[in-house]
Amino acid sequence: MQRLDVLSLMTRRAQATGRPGRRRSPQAGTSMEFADYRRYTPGDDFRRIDWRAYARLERLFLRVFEAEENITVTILIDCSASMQHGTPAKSDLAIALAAALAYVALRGEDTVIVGALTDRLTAYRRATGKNAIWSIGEFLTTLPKAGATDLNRALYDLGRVAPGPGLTLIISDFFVAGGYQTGVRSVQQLRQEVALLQILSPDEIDPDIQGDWRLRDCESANHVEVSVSSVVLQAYHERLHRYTQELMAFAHAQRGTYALIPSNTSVTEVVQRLLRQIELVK
Amino acid sequence: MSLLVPAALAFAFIIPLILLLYFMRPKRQERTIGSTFLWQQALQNLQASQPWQRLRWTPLLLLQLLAALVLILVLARPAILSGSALGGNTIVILQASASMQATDVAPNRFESARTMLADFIDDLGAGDQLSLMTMARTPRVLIADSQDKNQLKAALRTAHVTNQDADLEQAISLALSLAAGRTNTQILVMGDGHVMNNNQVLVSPLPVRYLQIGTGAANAALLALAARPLQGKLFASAQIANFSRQDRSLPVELYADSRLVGVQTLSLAAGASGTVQWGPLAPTTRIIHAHIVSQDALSADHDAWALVGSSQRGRVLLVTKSNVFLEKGLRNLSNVDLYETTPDKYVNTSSYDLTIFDGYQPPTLPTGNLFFINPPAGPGLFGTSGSTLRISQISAGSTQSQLLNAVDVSSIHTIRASHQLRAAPWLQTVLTSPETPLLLAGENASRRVAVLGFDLHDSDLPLQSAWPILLYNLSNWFLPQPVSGAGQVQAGQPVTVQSWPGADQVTITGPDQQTVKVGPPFPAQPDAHTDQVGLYQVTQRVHGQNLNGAFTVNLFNPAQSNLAPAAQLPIAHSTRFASGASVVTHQLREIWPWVAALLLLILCTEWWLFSRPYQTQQARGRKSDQRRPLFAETQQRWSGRYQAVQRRLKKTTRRFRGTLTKRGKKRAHI
Repeated sequence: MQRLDVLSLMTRRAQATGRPGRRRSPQAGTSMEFADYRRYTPGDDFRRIDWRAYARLERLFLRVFEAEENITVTILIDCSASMQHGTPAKSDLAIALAAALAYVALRGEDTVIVGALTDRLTAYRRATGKNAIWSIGEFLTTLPKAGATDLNRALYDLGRVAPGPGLTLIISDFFVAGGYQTGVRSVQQLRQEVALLQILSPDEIDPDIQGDWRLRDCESANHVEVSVSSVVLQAYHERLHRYTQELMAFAHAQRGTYALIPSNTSVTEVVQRLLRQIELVK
Repeated sequence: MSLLVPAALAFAFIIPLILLLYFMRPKRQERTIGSTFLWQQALQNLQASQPWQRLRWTPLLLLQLLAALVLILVLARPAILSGSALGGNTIVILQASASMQATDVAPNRFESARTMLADFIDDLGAGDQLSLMTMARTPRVLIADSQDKNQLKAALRTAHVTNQDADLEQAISLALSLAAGRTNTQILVMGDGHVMNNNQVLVSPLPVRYLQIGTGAANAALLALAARPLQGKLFASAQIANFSRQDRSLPVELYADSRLVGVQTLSLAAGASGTVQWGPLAPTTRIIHAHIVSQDALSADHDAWALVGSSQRGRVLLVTKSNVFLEKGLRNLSNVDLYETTPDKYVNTSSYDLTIFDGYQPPTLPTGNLFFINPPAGPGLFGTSGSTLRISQISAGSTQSQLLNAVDVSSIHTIRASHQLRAAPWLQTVLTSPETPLLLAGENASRRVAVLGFDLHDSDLPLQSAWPILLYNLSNWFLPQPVSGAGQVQAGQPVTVQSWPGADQVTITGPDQQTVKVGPPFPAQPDAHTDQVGLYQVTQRVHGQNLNGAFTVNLFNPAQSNLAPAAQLPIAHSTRFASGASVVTHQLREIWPWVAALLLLILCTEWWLFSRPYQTQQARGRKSDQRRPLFAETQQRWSGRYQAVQRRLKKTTRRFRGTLTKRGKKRAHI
């Protein structure tokens, strides 16, 4: 917890929410940080006129200060059945990571929304203030652990919840047959900066499997009959690499960030190292 | 190639079964994973719903089909026609005589024959039986009626060549007894045909084939060696033969008691023999050894040993007033060390092997052998000597005695008078007359006793040629040599040691220093360990003292030394055997073991191919495990540091730019 206290969530650009907080806003504000001078126009606050400049130049200039606001950090966790697989289970790391990021956001006086995704946005909880971490924690323990994944539809539901500009963190394995692009774009259209955090189990990154198998999908009735050989394993690795590259390219195209997180990584390492590398936290 | 069980080809239905298995999709184990999303995309070509799939010709399928074909072939028991030299029942007689040691065929004739025989054993068919025997002085069966090639080869390894002659008649007789009751049996004689039956024609009811081994290699041989006194001096002579097609000069060495006497070179024409002589030798010489200094195919006949005189000499005490016949006769005997005394000086010392009492009988008799001549009237050890009688006729005793060997009894004409002898029951009569026994001999209480009932001066016996012979026979009877004759024995001939009276242990030590005990029990057992040529020491323990004698074993066999192989055997209707041309049977020889070995190789290859993906996977896993701590962690560490420095640099640059911008704006305003 002490390590998390010194961290804060970063966005790639300043966002104007209108709510005072700690983050730099693109709009002028009332903080102590001097930003610029501008000509006086009628209606401006007299208290901001720089009288010394007026004495020298005989023109009225206003001193403009930077504004500091807070944002809404939305953390969406994929709670479908596929997240329950792997050793350790991907959902364990997803929940722990969501809790850690929520704590960091609450410490930064941001508003936090934690939501559970399956084929819909099945549940969410909004919280503000440092003490709200307990509410978030209680919510995370009640997340569903079954159901199919439909990220497009579930992310589209975020429009009902998100109040305005902010940062949305999507924690999922992104193994979705129907795709995720439409949903992520809809989130981005809500003036949300998107971070895609893909959690994969070690078995998915480097399958430890040999021989003839009938692989059954845990979310659907789909199955694959495969005779695993070195050629097949090589094809799988190539496909996984291509898929993650596509996911990362898409995130960057949406001005977002992306990270591939093995589920056997500790949450501390994820926050301290992986998320720092992609400049999601500092 | 033929198939002994063609019905096994019905197992060919296994091939379509294998193909069917490849057409069918294998039943797989099911495993639930988080998502088949990536697998579906990676393995789209494996996704199929039909139970059949397109046949893919993989190395595994090809190997399995090949293995099935080979398996069917094994079941069909393939066989090829092979020309086996030894078909049916064959009795192989392997000649093991001295001439088979000749090295004109590398390494020698015997080993060459053994190698050829081993090849014949390898070529034996399934139904062939083989009996092996060796032919030397005595034939020996190595193994009878065996089909087991390992047993046959093991028996063949026990065969060894000898220095003996080869008795073909006995070998054929033994082979016929082995073949009794069997049909389709043949006899194969492997050797050079130097047998001791060349002067006769043997008959065999079984077909006999002769596999000639050897070439007409040159050889020189010692055929005789002896030493004899000539005009009071000792000379040695040896007979040497040149069994070659060229004239040769042969240096011959002679050793007397292991000391070189001289080397003489004898020039001999091809096929001729000659004699070489050395002398005079030292009178004390006991053993002579001749050696031909020459390199040729057979070396066993390059050495010969001979004893000079007797190998054992006994201490003989003659107690007589005066008897020149006895003295001269005894002094000429080579096995006698003569000591003389008169009756009035006689003292019983009991240290002589033989004591001769001439006209005298002491009150107490000494130990050792006793010879009474003209015993005074009165009782004695031998019985009773009575008054003298006139002898009318002399004849041999009732039992044939070796004491009269070569003794012409009829040449003895006159014996004026002889004591009337009443013999003890253990004595046998050697010479007798109608009036009384004249010569008695017998053994009692471990000593030999003889009695001559008349005075030699009262007969013409000492003047006849029978006297020295009789005396020689008597001395050999009292003091027997280890081996009868001149102490020479043929190689391999069993030797029966003539033990001295009172001997309680007899041993024979050969040239190889191997000692064999031949007695007790007595009479001594025949010793057949006389295959090596050389000097054999005989040691007898008589009354606690060792008595050393010797005999020699020499080859001295022109038939074995003449190495030119015989063109044919002295057997009627025997035929020559020529390898290859005399292949008698074309028999089917099964080759399924080789095919089975091929099957095993195919299966091993198939297993290796099947398990190769696992090995590749494991090797890749090990490689990545090894790379992780060394490379990946270093990369991560330096990457983290690089990015941290980059962030600080960006931050510093941004602040610096901000500061410069602010100052510039302030200056512009001001």
